[in-house]
Amino acid sequence: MSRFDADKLIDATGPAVDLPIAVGHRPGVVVHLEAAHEAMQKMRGLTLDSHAEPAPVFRPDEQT
Amino acid sequence: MSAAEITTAVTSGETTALSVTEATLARIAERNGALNAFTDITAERALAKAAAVDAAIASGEDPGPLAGVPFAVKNLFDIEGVTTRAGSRINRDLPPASSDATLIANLEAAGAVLVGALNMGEYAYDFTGENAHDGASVNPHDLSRMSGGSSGGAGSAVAGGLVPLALGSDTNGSIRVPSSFCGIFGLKPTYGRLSRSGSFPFVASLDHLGPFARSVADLALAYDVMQGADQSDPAQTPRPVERCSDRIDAGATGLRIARLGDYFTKGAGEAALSALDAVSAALDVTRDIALSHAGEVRSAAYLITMAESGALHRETLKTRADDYDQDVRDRLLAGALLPAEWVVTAQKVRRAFAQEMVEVFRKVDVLLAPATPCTAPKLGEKWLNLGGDPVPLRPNIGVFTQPISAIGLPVVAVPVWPKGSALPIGIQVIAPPWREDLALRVARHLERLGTVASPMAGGS
Repeated sequence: MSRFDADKLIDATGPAVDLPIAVGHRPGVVVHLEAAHEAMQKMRGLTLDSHAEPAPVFRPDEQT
Repeated sequence: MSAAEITTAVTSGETTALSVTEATLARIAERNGALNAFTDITAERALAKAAAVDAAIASGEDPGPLAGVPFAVKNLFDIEGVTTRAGSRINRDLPPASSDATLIANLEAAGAVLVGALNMGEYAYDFTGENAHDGASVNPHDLSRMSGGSSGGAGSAVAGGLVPLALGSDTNGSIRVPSSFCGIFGLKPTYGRLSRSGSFPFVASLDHLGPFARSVADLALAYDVMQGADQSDPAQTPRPVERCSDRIDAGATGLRIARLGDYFTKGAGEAALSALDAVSAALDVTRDIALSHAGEVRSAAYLITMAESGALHRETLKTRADDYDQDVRDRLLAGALLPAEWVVTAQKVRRAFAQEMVEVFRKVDVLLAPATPCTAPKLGEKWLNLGGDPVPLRPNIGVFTQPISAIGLPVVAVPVWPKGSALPIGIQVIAPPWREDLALRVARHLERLGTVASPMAGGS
């Protein structure tokens, strides 16, 4: 797996979604993107099948 | 006096709502300079409301179950005529709110008296109670320490005895963390239980509102009157009003209670483990349950929080980035750039964990876990010792609260004073969805046993 490169994400996505990151803001944004990537890697360990539903409208007592 | 005692005294004519309000305003004037809990004091409105409560009593009307009880709200709640700053500099340029948040209206309909708005972490993205614009609200038990966030002013105001009742919000732990650090009771109800209408949002998928108090009875009293359908909140789940006040004294006999082990004890410090032991011993709890995916669901909450708050603030980030607290700004910017797949996966993980918990709650009625890994850190502290590892303090204070709010379970944070500790720490009493009554009942039982307590800082 290639190393996550937060700078690449900032350079590609920022201008593309019209949210360029100022030079002075970049170091902090990099730290937080790396933390987000780490969180994502933690979730990659879970097996979610193709039918797994997301929970954007959430019902805490919903049963399988 | 507690909220319940104030109501009794006001209703019986032993005192008046006006006297209580004037005394409250005097105490706020005396102590807020040291605590920095309040950002707005609504004295004129409070005195008018108190006079109306007294007039209702004089004319023989029922003044409501919270007659004359002063309360304050985190400054992300709309208060008519006050600008809803949500802990920010940017929102101060908004016009004043044109009406009250639903929960304020519900409390005032029950006779309570709003006295002001409370300090908070910027846009609720905080666990410390520090604020780059308004200064930190501080811990009344040790003024050199954090109140906890993001509802820091609420923790500070209630523990300091400025008000007996306050409202806050909890997205990842912002009611339970200040409750833990300030030694008070806090209720985070089930996701979708109480209306969020008229509160400034943070993360729509995870935002909850709830009360703080220094007794379980006060918590239940406030919770009871705040329930009810509100068409203006699309996230509210249709539920009947399920009042708890008359059920909290049922004791804990017959309830199956277990502790959350593994993830929830690995990073816990000495005070947190000692408090958990004390509560477990009081309830005769010996069973530990390990949740296999608590770490993953915390990661899910972390990403959902970044993405939704980044999206919420995107336009303002483009035009006023330097008006944010630097750390909040950088997290919001990063959140606005996250790949969609990460966020969708996070929502799937969240749902899978909620289903795992439905199975757990077939075997137990109530779960216990520390609210925070440590007691209140010193103001300005940046690092936290988590199970022997130094980690950044600000995002990690909520390590034990985040997995629980991620799936919307109701929790009462109860304050324990571990042996040898001058500071309190909270334990989460966690119940199945919609069973706030069970969490309140166990909290009340612990309060009666004397295992948990919320003494006013600096005495009465």
